[in-house]
Amino acid sequence: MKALSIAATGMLAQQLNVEVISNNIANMNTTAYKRQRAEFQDLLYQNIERAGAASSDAGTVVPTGIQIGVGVRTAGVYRVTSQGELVNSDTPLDMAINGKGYFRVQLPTGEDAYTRAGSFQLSPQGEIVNSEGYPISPGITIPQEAIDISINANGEVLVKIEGQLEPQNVGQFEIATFPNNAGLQALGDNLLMETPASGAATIGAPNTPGYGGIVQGYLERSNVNSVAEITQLIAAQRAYEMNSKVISTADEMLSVTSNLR
Amino acid sequence: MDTKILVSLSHQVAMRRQMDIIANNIANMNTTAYKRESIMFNEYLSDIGGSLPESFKKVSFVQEMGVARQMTNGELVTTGNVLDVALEGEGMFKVRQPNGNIAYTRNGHFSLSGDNVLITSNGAEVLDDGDASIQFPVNADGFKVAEDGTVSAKGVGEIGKVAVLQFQNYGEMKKIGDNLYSAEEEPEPSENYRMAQGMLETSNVSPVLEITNMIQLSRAYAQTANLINQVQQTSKQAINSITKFA
Repeated sequence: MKALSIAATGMLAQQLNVEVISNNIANMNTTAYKRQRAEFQDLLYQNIERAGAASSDAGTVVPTGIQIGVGVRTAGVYRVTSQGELVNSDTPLDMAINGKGYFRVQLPTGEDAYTRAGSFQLSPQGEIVNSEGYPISPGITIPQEAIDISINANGEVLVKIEGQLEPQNVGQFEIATFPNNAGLQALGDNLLMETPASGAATIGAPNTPGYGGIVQGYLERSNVNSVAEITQLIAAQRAYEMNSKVISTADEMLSVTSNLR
Repeated sequence: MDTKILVSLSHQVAMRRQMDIIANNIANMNTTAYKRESIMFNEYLSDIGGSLPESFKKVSFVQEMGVARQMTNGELVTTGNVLDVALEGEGMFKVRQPNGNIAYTRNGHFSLSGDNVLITSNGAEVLDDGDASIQFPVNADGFKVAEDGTVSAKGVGEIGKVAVLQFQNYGEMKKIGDNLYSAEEEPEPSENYRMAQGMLETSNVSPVLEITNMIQLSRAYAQTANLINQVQQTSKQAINSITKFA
């Protein structure tokens, strides 16, 4: 009886759905976290051919043969890359991107990773690093004698040095965009990596056409909507239950068969 | 063998098939744009011969006739993704699979490939009215999908138009899995449709309907099994009483 295995695929899919939703809820307060959504597709169909099915009279109601699906599968879990709210953090090195794009940081392996979480700090050497201590790329060093840092929407880092009237430009933030943001691979720690699915990064200055602007002193919140997540969780749980009912019904039918003398 | 048992058996085989279909509907309850299916049975008359009058000579078996697909629209659910497009009304999107075959789908969860081409979640290219794939400019932003399927971007203007096609007979289309359908028929451009950006169409499976069908089915299955039992009891009794007289 196929119903048993079909319902099992349904339960597995709903289980994954619950996992994705719970990860969204767990990351509700993660800076710049993008909520994820599981996408399901029907599995293949078995064509059950029967002699005579095709040679029915012209104009019959059901010209199809019998096709029976064998369940559901997960097509993918994708990120919804809508903008999160910006919250004021009053920290000069906190930055949010308003619009499209990712900050680029250099991993210890030398590869580039991308993030929208702009809670940057200074390393002991005065370099701007993310909360893991990975330097942004290209690197920007803030002189020790700086008393104030200001970053404008175009990503220029201007520092005020004691005794100097004009602020000094010490570097420029660059942001990267991708053809397919959902294709980026998440590494954890709010970091993402380029993949063949995401396409190659296009690097540009913030606040130019196609790139978002930098907002200093703000952080981007996650785009998780708690009400939507909870309702989806309820729906997923009910769907899980219903699939388990299919299993118990199929089991009942089988036991009826085995009780025949 | 006894005809009564064979008739019951034909019923049971059919019900098992129906159970598989219900299970598939429930498993795909959260599948984007899944269309629920139901099985159709018909009567198969068979002549048993003998000296009975004409009206008693026919025995009707249960036979599966086909799977009917309910093509009503599912509900629309907001996803917030700019390239999610729900299709309201009649029609299907046309896509070219990576192996070159043409397929049709109502699942409007699109994204851009690494080469900036509009694709489905299986990597099939979404086609426009002229059967060409839709190439997006590099680093475009602010996508807008109009109600008629015209895709545009901020500063770039119109990029292309997603084709929506309608068929004479949706029942004739074959499901090939992954939310895709294949068709022999040459479709025509649809007119009665509207696209909603940032939304997806849910499946049209109604949980209440499926569960009640399932309960009904399992009871009917048990009753038929009971019937087979009784038939056997009767013949057993007959054998016992006949041997007593002999």
